[in-house]
Parts: sequence; structure tokens; C-alpha cells
Amino acid sequence: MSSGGYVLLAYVLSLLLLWGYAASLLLATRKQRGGKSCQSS
Amino acid sequence: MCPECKRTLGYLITAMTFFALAIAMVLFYVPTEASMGSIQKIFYLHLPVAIATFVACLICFAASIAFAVTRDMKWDRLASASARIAVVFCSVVLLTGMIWGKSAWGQWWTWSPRLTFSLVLWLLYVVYVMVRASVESPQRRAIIAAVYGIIAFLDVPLVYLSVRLMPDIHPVSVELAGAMKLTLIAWFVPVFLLMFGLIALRFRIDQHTATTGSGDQQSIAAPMTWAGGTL
Amino acid sequence: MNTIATLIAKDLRIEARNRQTLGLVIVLGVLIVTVLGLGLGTQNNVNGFSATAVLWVAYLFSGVLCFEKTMAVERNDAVLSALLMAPIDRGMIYLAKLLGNLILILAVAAVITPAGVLFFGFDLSVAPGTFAGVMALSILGFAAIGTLFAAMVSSTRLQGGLLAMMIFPVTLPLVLISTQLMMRAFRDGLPPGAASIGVLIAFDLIFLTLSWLTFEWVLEP
Repeated sequence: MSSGGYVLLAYVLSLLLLWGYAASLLLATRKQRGGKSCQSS
Repeated sequence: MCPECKRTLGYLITAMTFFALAIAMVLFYVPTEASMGSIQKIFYLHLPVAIATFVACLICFAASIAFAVTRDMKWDRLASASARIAVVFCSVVLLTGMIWGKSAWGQWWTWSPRLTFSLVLWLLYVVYVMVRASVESPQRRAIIAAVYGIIAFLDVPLVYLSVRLMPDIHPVSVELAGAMKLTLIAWFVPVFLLMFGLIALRFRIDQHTATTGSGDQQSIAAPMTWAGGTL
Repeated sequence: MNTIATLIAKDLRIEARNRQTLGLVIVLGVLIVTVLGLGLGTQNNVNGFSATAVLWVAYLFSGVLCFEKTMAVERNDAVLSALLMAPIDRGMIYLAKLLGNLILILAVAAVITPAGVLFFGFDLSVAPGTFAGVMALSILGFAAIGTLFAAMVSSTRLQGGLLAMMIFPVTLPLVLISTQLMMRAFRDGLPPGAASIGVLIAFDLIFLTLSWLTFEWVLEP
């Protein structure tokens, strides 16, 4: 693989990891609220 | 949509925008470094994430001490959240470090000081998460985690000093031109935004679980508590 | 001082009566050295480094077993509850446990080290003082952490495995430094660097103090 390819691999995997984790946290938040959108107070 | 969700979404979209900007800078703006070639571009992601990892570990340390002194559970939650984020971010450090090594020197792994240090840091905080998972009682879990959290962080400089004794076949010193410095700063912003944001998000999730009194995420009590404005 | 002596005497007496821990730990250590010796020792490139690394693996696993068992003694017959009710400074309990562990580990080391030296044809006479000093400092740090962590996990389900997971990353500086120092001494013939010894001493001081201070928080009747 060319070094450009490796750079791409590094960025793509890293961002997937970071934002994938963010997504899992957001999903957990949604589940906590019973799967509905938040109610206004 | 509730104000809290709006805030979270707004915050994350901001972070994403900064990421997009930073990526664009790496792709189109920053020049390729002369001696190392294009593989050096990993540096703009690697360094901010490494520093962010360290800051997360520092937050865990401070929160652990705060819990040990005050015994207020919110510090325990903060320590837990920051440790998890440290693990995620440290995984990125390891990943980018390994890919850089593979490209530049042909090996996925070497026992170089930097990689070894990243690995030990990762292990320290993975164990933190596992220790938490092994203790049932919340109070006991909190104090055990706090003591471990303090020890783990104090170990970090010692690990750093001891890995420096190892032979470093691949010293990397980088001279940064102006455009490079700018790109680097451009990466610090989204990475740190994401780091703080994720810690806060994780903290809120744990807090919510704790205040609704059960781990049941389908609990009917949840909307009621929320509507009562616990935040 | 008297308190510590009494506590240690109690532990050693229990140990002497059933010789359980010491036997187990020594056998485990010798087994590890044997297995690794079979695998590595047959290659003729033995130097101070591989011998030290093997010894460390043996010490680490034997040590973990040892710490776990000495803490488990307190669980039997609610000894710990009784101990906590007595007007003893918790720090004393820590020191007593630590010294007990050290005695046991040193006993183990006394058996495993000659075994390792023998199986690896390792020539200690080049720098025996360095070897003894470095290993002593390292084992002290290891025991300091191990005693504290053993108290932390003694009430959990996982116990031994968890204990090993906790101890290894934290004590890695000890392993790293001692193996590097051995390489310097035995392969390169150089005296140990002051910086390295300094880090070992710093490790021991920091974690001895920290463990002694926080021990009472993690003790659970």
C-alpha cells in the first residue's frame, strides 16, 4: 500500500472509532429515554 | 425536541464541522513534509488525540481524588466516564501509531518507547474499566476504582521514564512550518471538543441510570424524571 | 512496631501450620521457569535479558498467587472483621501484610532464581550485587502494589485473574527497568545508571506511601 493509502486508512479507521463510539453513546441516551423523543418540561 | 437534546446535537454538529474543516486542511492545504513524505500527515491526528487521551486520564485522576476525599458519587461518575473516553482515544493513538510504523518502517509493531508507552497507558485504563465491572456494590466499586485511578495515573510518568531507557530505533523529530502548525491547531479543536463532549455524554448517561434507580433502560420512570427537570 | 510483629507472627504461624501458600507458589514458579526454559533455553543465545525476563514472569505469576492467598487468609473465620474491630491503625495492617508477602516472595525467589540461573546457564558472578539489588528493589515495589490490590479484589468474584490484570500494567516500569539494567550489567558489562535506579526507588517510595495511606479505604470486612 502506498503511504497515501496508509494515511487514508489511519484517518478513516480513527474517525470511525471516535464517531462510532459517539453514536453508541447517543443510542444509549435514546434508549434511556424509552425510545421516544425527549419530552419538553 | 428538548433543550438538552438540542444542545447535544448542536455541540456534536459543531465538532463535526471542525473535523470536516481539519480534514480539508490535511487534504488540500498543508504541504507534504520533506523528509518523511505523506505518511507524516498522520501526525495531525495522532498528536491531538494523544494529548486528549492524557487530559482524559488527568480528569480521571482528579475525579478519583475528589471522590476519595468527598465520597460524592458524581466524582465517581466523572472518573468512570473520563476513563472510558481515555480508552477509546488511546485506541486511536495506538492505531495511528501502528499504521504510521507499518508505513514508515515496515512493521506493525515495534517495542519503541512511544508505542510501548501507548500500549501500557491503554492497558492501565482498560483494566480500570474492567475493575469497575467486577465489583457489584456501587460504594465499594467507587472507592476501589478511585484508588486504582490514582495509582494508574501516578504510574504514567514512571512508565514514561522507564520506556525512555529502551532503545529507540526510530526517533521522530519534526520541524513544523507555519501551514503545518495551523493544521495541527485546526485538529486540536475538534478532537478536544469531541473528548469533552463524550465525557459529558457518558457522565449524563451514568447519572441518569443512577438517578432512576435501576439499570433498566426501558424504565417507565425515565420520562417522569426527565419531565421533572433533573437536569 | 509490636503490633506489626504480632500480625506478621500470626500470618507466618498460619502459614507454617499448613504450608499451603508457600508450597503452591514455589511449585508454580518452578513450573514457569521450567516451561519457559524448555522453550527458550534450548536456543543458545542466552543473555542476562532473557533470563531476567523469565524470572520476572515467574515472580509475577507466583507473586499474584501469593498475594491473593495471603489476603484470602483474612476471609476465613471472619478474621478481618475481628482485626478491624481491634484498635489497630489500618496502616499497620498494611505493613504487616506487606512484610508477610515480602518474606514469602523472597522465599520463592530463593528457590526460583537458582533454578532459572541453572536452566539458562546464566552467569551471575559478573554482577551479583547489581542483580540482587535491582531484583530486591523491584520485588519491593511489586509487593507494595500487590498487597494493596489483593485487598481490593479479595471481595470480588474474579479475584486472581483480576489481580493479575491490575498488577501487571502498573508494575511494568519495574520489569522494564530491571531487565534493561540486567542487559547493561550482563551483556554490556556496565554499572547500573543512576537514573534507572532513581526511577526504581521513586516507584517504591511513591507506591509504598500511597498503598499505606489508602489501604484502609479498600479493606472490607
